[in-house]
Amino acid sequence: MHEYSLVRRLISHVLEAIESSPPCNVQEVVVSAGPLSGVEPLLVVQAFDQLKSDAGLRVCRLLIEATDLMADCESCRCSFAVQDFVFRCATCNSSSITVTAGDEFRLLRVKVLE
Amino acid sequence: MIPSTRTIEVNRDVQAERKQAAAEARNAFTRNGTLVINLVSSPGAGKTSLLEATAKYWKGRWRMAVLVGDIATERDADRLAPFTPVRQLTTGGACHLELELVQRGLAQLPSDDYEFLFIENIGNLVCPASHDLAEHLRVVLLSTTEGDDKPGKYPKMFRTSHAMMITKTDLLPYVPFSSEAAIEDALRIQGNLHVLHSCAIRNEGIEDWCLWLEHRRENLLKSKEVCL
Repeated sequence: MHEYSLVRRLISHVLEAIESSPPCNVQEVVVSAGPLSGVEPLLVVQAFDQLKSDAGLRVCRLLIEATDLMADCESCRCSFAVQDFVFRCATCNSSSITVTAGDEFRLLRVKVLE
Repeated sequence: MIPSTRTIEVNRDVQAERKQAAAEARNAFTRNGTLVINLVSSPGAGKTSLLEATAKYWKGRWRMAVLVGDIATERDADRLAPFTPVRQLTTGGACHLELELVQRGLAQLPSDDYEFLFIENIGNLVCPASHDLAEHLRVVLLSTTEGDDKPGKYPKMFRTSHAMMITKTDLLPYVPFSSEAAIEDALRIQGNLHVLHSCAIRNEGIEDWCLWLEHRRENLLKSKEVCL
């Protein structure tokens, strides 16, 4: 499943972020995922638990913050939450919208013990 | 000394580097005048049949090549080989193609001088939606045998696509599929979706498909001139 591919990238980013700290001191990794991120949180946690030891992150836990699917309307400039995957402006019904959140799998922060 | 915790703020897209690599590869294709099309669908929607019909239509007119992704076998590559340069990308289990594998396949093609490069993705409407293969166009195929309610069930795939092709239109009299319902469902998700219809085995809709691609390539070449 493709969560394994993404989690390998995630772990790579975590190791980059903690270059000055040993991997075994990483306590927590916090990520965000939204409805269009293309990941299933349960599968992400499973993949992380299976892959973390090889990277020296044995005691690290993964927390996933859910993000709403948000968009900006290019016609009336309002920001709105996309409901039921209907990508039309909630105010003016325009389809000229840009998704601003909820479509990425992001590494937010890493907590280390020093 | 008592250990203390420190929080390192990162706030970074996990796929940022891959997206950057895909953008750079796409720019290279643009400079080369090659339009790259990523064909996605569930298994059996007709990607290979469409490519076979496309190669026959364009024979002697445009140079095209195909990179075919599958979990196992080279059946699709074998099927297309009489009609177009093709290389099989076998993932051995992965449910989607990634840019690195596509680039390896590119290096094995007989030339790099094609007007059109097709990537026939793994049959899967879920995972390929999250992986940029440096394409200019992502085209999702939806066959009449799959049901007209599928766009809403796979929002990421339809949201990230540029066109939807309804395939196997010869079966419309025999299946409870409403093109209007499928199109309405898809346009709710991606209002800019270009819609096409085809029946590859009867060669129906192939001319419209090819002319649309030729037009998109013309636009690409114009954008290249603007950027130079």
